[in-house]
Amino acid sequence: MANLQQQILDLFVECDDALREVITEVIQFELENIHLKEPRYKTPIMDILDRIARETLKDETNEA
Amino acid sequence: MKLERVLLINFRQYFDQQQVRFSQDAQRNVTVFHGVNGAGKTSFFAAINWCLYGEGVEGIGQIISKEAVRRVEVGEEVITKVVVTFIHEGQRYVASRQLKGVKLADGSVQERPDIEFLLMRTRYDGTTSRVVNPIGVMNSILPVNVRTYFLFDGEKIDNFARPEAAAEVHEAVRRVLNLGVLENAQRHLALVAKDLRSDLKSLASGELKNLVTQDEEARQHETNLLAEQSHYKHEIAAIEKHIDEVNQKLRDLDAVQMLQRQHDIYSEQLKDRESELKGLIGRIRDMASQGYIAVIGDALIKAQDILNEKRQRGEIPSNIRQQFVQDLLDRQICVCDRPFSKHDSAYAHLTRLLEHAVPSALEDDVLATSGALGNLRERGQQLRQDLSTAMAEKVRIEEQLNRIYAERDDIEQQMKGSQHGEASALAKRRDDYQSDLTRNRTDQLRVEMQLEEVRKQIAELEKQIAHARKSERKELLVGRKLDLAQQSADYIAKVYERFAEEKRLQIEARSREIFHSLAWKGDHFSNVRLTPAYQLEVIDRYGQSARPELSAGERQVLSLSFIAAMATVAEREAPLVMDTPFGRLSSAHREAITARIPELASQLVLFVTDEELRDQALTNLRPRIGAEYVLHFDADTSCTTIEEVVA
Repeated sequence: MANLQQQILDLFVECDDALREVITEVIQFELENIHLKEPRYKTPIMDILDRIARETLKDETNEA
Repeated sequence: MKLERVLLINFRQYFDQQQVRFSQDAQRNVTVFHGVNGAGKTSFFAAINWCLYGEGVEGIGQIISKEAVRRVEVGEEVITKVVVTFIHEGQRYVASRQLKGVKLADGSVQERPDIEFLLMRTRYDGTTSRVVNPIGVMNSILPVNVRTYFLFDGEKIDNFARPEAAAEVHEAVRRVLNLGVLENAQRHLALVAKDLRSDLKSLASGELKNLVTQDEEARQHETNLLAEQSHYKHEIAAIEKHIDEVNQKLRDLDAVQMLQRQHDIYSEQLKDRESELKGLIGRIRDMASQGYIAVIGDALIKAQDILNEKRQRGEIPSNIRQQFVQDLLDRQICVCDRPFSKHDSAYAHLTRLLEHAVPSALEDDVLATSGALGNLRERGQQLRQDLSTAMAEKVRIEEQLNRIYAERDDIEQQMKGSQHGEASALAKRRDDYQSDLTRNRTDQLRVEMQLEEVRKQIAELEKQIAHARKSERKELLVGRKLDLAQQSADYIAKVYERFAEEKRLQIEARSREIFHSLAWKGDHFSNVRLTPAYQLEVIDRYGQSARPELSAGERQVLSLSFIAAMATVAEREAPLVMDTPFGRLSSAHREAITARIPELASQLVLFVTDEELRDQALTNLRPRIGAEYVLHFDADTSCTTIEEVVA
C-alpha cells in the first residue's frame, strides 16, 4: 500500500492537471499548518489559485 | 520517520551530554530502554516529544538539569538541549530544541522565554540546509496532532477502548488518516470560492462586448467617411482640372484674354490669402488651447498679492536670502562696503531680519513660486496680446478675400456677358464648375468634420475598451480561480466520504486481525468492529458486545490493536515509541504482544521496567532487538546515566 500522502493524492488522479495541482498544494498547506487552530488560509490559497489560474489561461492563449 | 540518534544535554536527570543510537536494522527493528521506576524512562520519552514538537513535558517539572544548575554560579547561564536525528524518505533531519536558564540566588533557575527550535535537512546529494518552515515540515513528516498515537504513554493506552471513547476514536482516525487535513482543505477552498464569487459579481459583465460593437460601428463609419472624402477629393481634383482647362481656353481667346489675366491674378491672390488665412486659423487654435493662462490673470495677481502680504508681515521670507544676511553679519561689512559693529543700528536691523528666518527649503519654495507666478502673468499678458493681433489679422485677410472675390466675380460677370459666344459659354461653364467645386468643398468639409468627430469617438472608445479589457481579464481570471476553488472543494467533498468509509473498514479489518493475534482468549472474541459512529466494539462468540466485560489488559490490547491498525492502514513511515506499554498486561498478553508487535511498525522503541519485559516476553522480543540500553539512576547525584547493553 502506498503511503498516506500518496493514497490521498491518488484520490484526485482523475482530476485535470490544474485541479489536481490546486488540491495537492492546498492539502500540503493544510498539512503544514495542522498545528494551528485556524490558519490564515485566504492569502496562501488565493496565491495558489491565482498562479495556477494564470498558468491555465496562458496555456489556453498559447494553444489558440 | 525513523529515529537514528538522540542527544540529551542537561535534560532533567540526564546531566551533561548523553547519547543513544536507535536500531536501524529492518529485522532487528526494536530498541529497548530498561529502567526501574523513576530511572528516567518517561523523561527520555518526554525529551523526544519536546524536541520534535515542543510538547510532552507538561507536568514533569523543571526540564533544566538541577545538577547542571547546581554546578554554575549565581547569574550564570545553563543550557538544556535535545537533538533528535531521524531519517525520513531517504533524507536525514536533525531537530534540535534548546532552552536557556539563569541561576538565581536561591539556587533555582529562571528559564528564558525563547526556546530555539532548529531543523536541518541533509538532502540526497549530501547538501545540508536549515529548514525554513520547521513546524510545517515536521507536520508533513508526522503531524503534531498525530504524535500521541505513535509516541504514546502505555499507561493511558486503553483510552480508545472505553465506552465513551467514540469521539476520541473518531478524532484519532481523522488525524492519523489526514481526514482533518482534507476537511480543512475542502472548507477553506469553499470559503475562498465564496469570496471569489462575490468579487466576480462586483465586476461588470458584457460592457466590453457593447464597447466593441460601438467601436466596430464607429470604425465602419470612419471607413465610409474616408471613402466619401476620397470621392470628394477626386471630384474636386476633376473639377479643378476642368476649370484649369476652361481658364486655359479663355486665356487663348483674344476677346477675353485681358480679363482672364486679371482673373488669374485675383485667383492667385485668393489662393495666397486663403492659405494665409488657414495658417492663421491654425495659430489661433493653438493659442486658444493655452487660453487658461490668459483667463487666470486675476487669480495670479491675487496669489502674488497674498505672497507679498505674507512677506511684508514676515510670515514668509523676504527676497533677501537668509544666507546673504548671515554673511553680512559675519563679515560686519555693509553691501556699500561700509564696516559696522555689533553696536550699530545696521547690526540690529540685520539681526531682526534673521529672526524671521524660516527653513531654507521653504525659502527656496517661496522664491520659486513667486518666480513662477510672475512668469505666468507675463505669459498671460503676451498671449492676450498675440491673440488680439491674430484676430485683427484674420479680419483683415477676410476683408481682403471678400474684396478680391468681389472683384473676380465682377470680371467673371463681364466674361459671361461677353459678346464672344465661346468666351461667354466658357465663362458660364466655369461658373458652373465653380458652383460644383464650392458644393463639393462644402461636402468635403462636412465629411472632414464628421471624420474628426468619429476619430475622437474611436479614441475614446479605445480608452474605454482598454479599461474594459483590463476588467474583463480580471473577470476571466477571477472566474477561473472561482472554478478551480469550487471544483476543488466539490471534488474533495465527493471523495472524502468514500475515502473515510474505506479507511474505517480497513482499520476495522486490521484491528480485528491484530486483536485476534494478541488477545489470549482467542475464539471467545468473534469480532472487532469500528462502527460508522466510530465506536470500537468487541463482539463475543454469542454476538453480544463484550466491551463492558473487557479487563484492563484486554482494553489495552484492543487500543494497541487499533493504533497498530491505524498505523498500518495509513502506511505512515513512523516509529512506535511506547512508554511502559506492558505494565498492566498479564504474561499471556505480554507474550502475545512481544511476539507480534515488531511486525506492526517499521521501528519500535520501548521504555520498559524489568518486570514488564522478562521471561518469555523478553525471549520473544530478543531476536528483534537491535539496540538495548539500561538507565541507571544514581541516588547520590540524582542523575541518570545511560549504559548500552552489548550483546
